[in-house]
Amino acid sequence: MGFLDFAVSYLSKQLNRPDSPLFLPKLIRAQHNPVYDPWVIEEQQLPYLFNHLKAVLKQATITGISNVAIVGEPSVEHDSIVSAEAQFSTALPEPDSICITGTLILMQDTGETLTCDFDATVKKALIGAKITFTEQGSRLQATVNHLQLKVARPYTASLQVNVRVLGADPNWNALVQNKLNEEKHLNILVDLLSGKLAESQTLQSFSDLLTDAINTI
Amino acid sequence: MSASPADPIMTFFGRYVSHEMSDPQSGLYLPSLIKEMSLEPYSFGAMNVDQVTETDDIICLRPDEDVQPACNGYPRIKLTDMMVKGLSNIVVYQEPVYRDVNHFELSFTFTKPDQTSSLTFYGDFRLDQQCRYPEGTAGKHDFTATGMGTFTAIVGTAYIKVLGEMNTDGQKITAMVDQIQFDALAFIEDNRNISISVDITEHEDWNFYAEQALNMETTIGQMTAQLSGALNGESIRQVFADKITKKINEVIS
Repeated sequence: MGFLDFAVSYLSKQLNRPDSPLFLPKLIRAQHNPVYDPWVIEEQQLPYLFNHLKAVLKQATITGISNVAIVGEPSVEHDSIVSAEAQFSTALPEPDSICITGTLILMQDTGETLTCDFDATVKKALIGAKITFTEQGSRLQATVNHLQLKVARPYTASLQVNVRVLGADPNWNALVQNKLNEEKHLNILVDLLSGKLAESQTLQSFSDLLTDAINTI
Repeated sequence: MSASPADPIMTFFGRYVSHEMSDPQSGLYLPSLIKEMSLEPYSFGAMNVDQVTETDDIICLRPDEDVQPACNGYPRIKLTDMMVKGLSNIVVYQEPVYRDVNHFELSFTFTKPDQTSSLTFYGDFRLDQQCRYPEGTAGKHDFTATGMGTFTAIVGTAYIKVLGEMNTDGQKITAMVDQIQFDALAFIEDNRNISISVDITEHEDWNFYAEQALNMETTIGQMTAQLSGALNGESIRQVFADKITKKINEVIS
């Protein structure tokens, strides 16, 4: 067993221990620029939400990203590449889901808009990570190459979207909500989360987090 | 008018539909839809003109006779194979109105870019005038003078109003068209909004008098009411409602 195997195995245990200074939820909450829990997204286009409408999610706040625990034992390949899987909403009792709240604006080409208070709850999401460790002098440098969100299909069983349109009749409100809860529309929301996690800024931030963590060992 | 406010979601989708009606690229583009629905031209039946209060003895004239007959009462005028041409020149007249949770009101008018008449009525014309000789004219019997030909009515300004509903069960939207009203009398002041001309075969000199008889406000009202009633028929309303329903459900898919 090489040093990296040992370090990674030790680190993953520390990341899951609530009393450890390396407890993962604690580390994630300490991140800034940006803050990941809550993770605020000013504006996000959802271009394919409906065929004939533009959709924009504004002032979206994602909560629950920090409530994540490593699942199983990370695997080490070639003494440098680590594959790990983590599950959201298992490290701590609360919250038990990832939640997105914000304002969803549906827009026609003519400029007509419909503003909806929006929230979406994601249960049982996993994240797969691929991390490369390299030696930088006396330190280990972690590079997160890949973060992949995995939500169990069908999404209709793992995600629930709620919308409220001010002043709307319950049946009309239900129509918009039911449509948004169709698999193909939920797919777009999962893609949104996946896309945010795959951004280079996110990968960099988690690389820094892991580099700092592994070098304290 | 209902005082309850419009539903924001119904209004949002309703406006989408209204804009589509004016978009030449859309399957809901009204001029195309009217052609598709076989409303260009459109036959709206036949009618007996209810109130004729004009005639002239020229209709009974027998130039080769010494004693001339005169009109006995007013003529019977019948219009058959009445057609309207130009419904496809339809354009949105006013912003649609959306009321409460499910009612909408669309209004349209007719225009043509080249300024020629956007809407015309035409068809077959028949006039039957009872003629009578002066009392005591020997050997002469009453007779009916008949003139047949065609009529054409040039319509100035006309409007169509569509009253309907949109309902949802939370899964899909169903549009209904409750009423289609054709109106060519609104906003007409002194100028005649519809002007009817007649072309009577073999009796061209009757035309002027027949036109006077026909161009009564009551006759024009009767003609437009007949068209309004025909357009308000179940099948036209249903086809129109189905088109709206299909389009509006596309937008939420």
